[in-house]
Amino acid sequence: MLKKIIQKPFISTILLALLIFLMDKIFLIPSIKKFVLYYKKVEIFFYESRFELFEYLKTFRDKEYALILGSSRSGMFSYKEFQQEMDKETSIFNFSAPLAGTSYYYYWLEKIYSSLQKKPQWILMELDAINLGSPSIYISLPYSYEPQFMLRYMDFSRDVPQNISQEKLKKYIDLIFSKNGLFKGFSADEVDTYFMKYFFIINRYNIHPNKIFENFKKIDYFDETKNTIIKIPLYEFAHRIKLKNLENFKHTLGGIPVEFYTQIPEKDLSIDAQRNFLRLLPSPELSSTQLIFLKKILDLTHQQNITLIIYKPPMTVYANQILKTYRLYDLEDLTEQFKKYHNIIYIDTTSISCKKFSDSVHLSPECYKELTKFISTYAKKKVPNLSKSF
Amino acid sequence: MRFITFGYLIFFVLVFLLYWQIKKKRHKLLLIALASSLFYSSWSIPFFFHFALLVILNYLFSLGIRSNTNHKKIYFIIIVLIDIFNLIFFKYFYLLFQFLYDFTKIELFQKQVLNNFLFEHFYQESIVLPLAISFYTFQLLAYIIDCYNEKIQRRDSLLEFYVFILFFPQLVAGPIMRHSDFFFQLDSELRLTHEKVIKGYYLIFIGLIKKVFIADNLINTIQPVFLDPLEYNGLTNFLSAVGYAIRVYADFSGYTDIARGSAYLLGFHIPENFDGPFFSTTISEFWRRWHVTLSSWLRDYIYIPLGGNKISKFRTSLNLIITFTLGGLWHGANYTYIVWGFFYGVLLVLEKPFVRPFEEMIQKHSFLRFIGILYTFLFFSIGFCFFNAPNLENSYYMLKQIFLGGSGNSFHKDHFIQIIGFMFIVFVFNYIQSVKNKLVINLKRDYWILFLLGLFVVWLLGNYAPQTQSFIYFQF
Repeated sequence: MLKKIIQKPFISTILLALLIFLMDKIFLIPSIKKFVLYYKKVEIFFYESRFELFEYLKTFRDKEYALILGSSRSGMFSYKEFQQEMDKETSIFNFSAPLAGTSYYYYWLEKIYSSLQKKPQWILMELDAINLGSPSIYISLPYSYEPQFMLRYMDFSRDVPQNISQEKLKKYIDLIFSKNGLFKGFSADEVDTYFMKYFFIINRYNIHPNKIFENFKKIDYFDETKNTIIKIPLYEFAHRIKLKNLENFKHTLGGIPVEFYTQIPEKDLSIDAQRNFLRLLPSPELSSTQLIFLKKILDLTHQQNITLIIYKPPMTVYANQILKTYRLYDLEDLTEQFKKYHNIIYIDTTSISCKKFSDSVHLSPECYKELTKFISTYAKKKVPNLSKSF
Repeated sequence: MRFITFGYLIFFVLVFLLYWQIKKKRHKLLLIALASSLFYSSWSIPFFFHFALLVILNYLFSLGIRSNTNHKKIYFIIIVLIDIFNLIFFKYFYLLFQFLYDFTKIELFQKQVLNNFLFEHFYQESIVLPLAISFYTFQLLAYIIDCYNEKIQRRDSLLEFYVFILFFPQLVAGPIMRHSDFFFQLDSELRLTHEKVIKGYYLIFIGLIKKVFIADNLINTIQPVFLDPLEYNGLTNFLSAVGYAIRVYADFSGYTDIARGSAYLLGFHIPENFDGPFFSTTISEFWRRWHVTLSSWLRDYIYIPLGGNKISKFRTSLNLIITFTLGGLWHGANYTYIVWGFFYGVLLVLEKPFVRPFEEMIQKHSFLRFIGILYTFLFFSIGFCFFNAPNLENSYYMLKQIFLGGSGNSFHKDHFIQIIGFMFIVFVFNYIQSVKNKLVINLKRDYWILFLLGLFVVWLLGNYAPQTQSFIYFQF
């Protein structure tokens, strides 16, 4: 009887599709996922760990909190240094993630605010052209956001192109910032990519046989529990590092540990800048989605009277030069819009004296103390009663 | 809606599930009409109404042509003019302006001036080219001309005609169907058989491999050379032209496979556009096996009405050149496409006295066959120096670099291997296309093969789909 049903063309069509679809889901099983996720893909860990950081933040319901929203360039901020400079009583959670942009910031801001029903004391937000480019959306799509969020902020049809060239930027910024609620957020293409990655696990994690083989290569590892060096496969090494860092997050409140940043020799910084921009911002275009979400952040913080400190991060002269060639270094048309919002403090931090860099776009860890002081001093000057301790 | 998207997957699954629950054929067609309307509207709602209106108008005029013998010609001329004007207005507007600018040098006719005006006043960056306009115009014209020539006896309903033109699997980039390709299927029951399921799945999977694995991976290798040919040496320019030939085959044949596969799963058969063209031994044979539905359209509705080969040799040659130049113009509103079409027209004229007399001999000897295949493939590839170049200047530089052995950068070893590797795979696909009818269905074996092929495709999409490009022929 069953055989007869299966043999019907309609049923066999569905069964074949279903079997292929289910086979893909094998990679969701944690013990298998551990083997197949490429050990070098740390961004998956940082994006996914933000959900655990969020759970941890919820335990701070009764306390004052502030948020740092940025890319890996803001991951190195120490909450303790900010506490020292600004407010010892406020817990400063760092939700920065590699190559994150404004859509990602808004997602966490909305999620945190609606869940805690309590506004943050202040928000520090990293912003330059890289955070507003298309690549910064696509990197966050597989590992962040819920389907409801994507559907809620999906624009079925919008009259703004997905990528806006530098020449037309002013006109489109004026349009996006002049119309309240006209633009919902993600383009249909972005939502499509999200769901493709949401439903197809191989698509989400780019599982490749070569990378699985590489995961099985053994390396020396110092086992603290046994106080000895042991040989472990790379996937196991990555797993242990992740567990250790998840534990660390409770002490760093989300800050990304220094060891995750690579140190590029100074002589290679120029080439590194060119290589990085191919990935971070390959053409002089900004994403309309990112601009729409930026406006949403500004509107939400403005309505709730939350102080929003927007800082332009320092980069090497080589990276700045590329942005200048793109004519996207100053973003004057955008910063002009900030003047409409009384809650915004805009800080250009490119003039700090410490000029050491890990690579072409990341400041060296030793400069973060100065950067923190620079931001805090400027913010306090602008808004003396930013928080209770000011 | 593009084929390689999650949106299309969900859309197709829903249509498939609903479609096979419906018993009556008329209701099935209604569902396809609705789904096809949604499919087109997902690109643009206003242009869907424009398209639907055109379809209805063509149907009404076709009734007039078939019923009223006194005014038949007037109806015919009016609707043909409407269809052609619609195509010219949207597709060749800029080219007309370009002609005017080139002759008069009046600033107003510059594309940028017009675009700036549109952007400043309407936030429109340019005049929008309606999706699939070239394909649907040719399909509409074929139907109208066949009605006029009384080749269509069947009384088609508006719903059937609407589905014929808007059928979503083939709507965007063909195949360009004729009345005889489609309507006979509506006279019998639409059924799903194992053969259709196997063919449908197989074509969809193979189409995805061609598109995602081959076509999309070649773009970053070859496109920089087309944009700046003087930066690269002669061999690299030549390999880029070959690479584009591989890409355009993988892209367009991949699309056609997915279109045909989707149609099979809905119980329909739509014609094949590629008959293993890379195994052609002459250019004329090539055009009988490449984009078959367009080539036969050009033959039946332009070349033969011009007189075909039943007139003087000179006129026949002229007709060939006119037909192929118009074929080039059909592809796009740019001088490069016109020259591309003209190039093949001239090649075909030259082939007649020098190659065609030896065609039979070429087919008999394997070495000559090999030389013929090589000759055809090389000339086909060279043509893309016009087709894919942004302007004629770049086409000239590319040809100069190739034929005068210009110096410059060369491909990295990996890129060289990639092009050669893909060329081999593409020839295998061409071989499969040429022997397709000899394969015998074996249910158990075929479902197992499809299962494994399906897993491979999921992996392929997972690793290569994020860079998926729009199909080349979508712009036409």
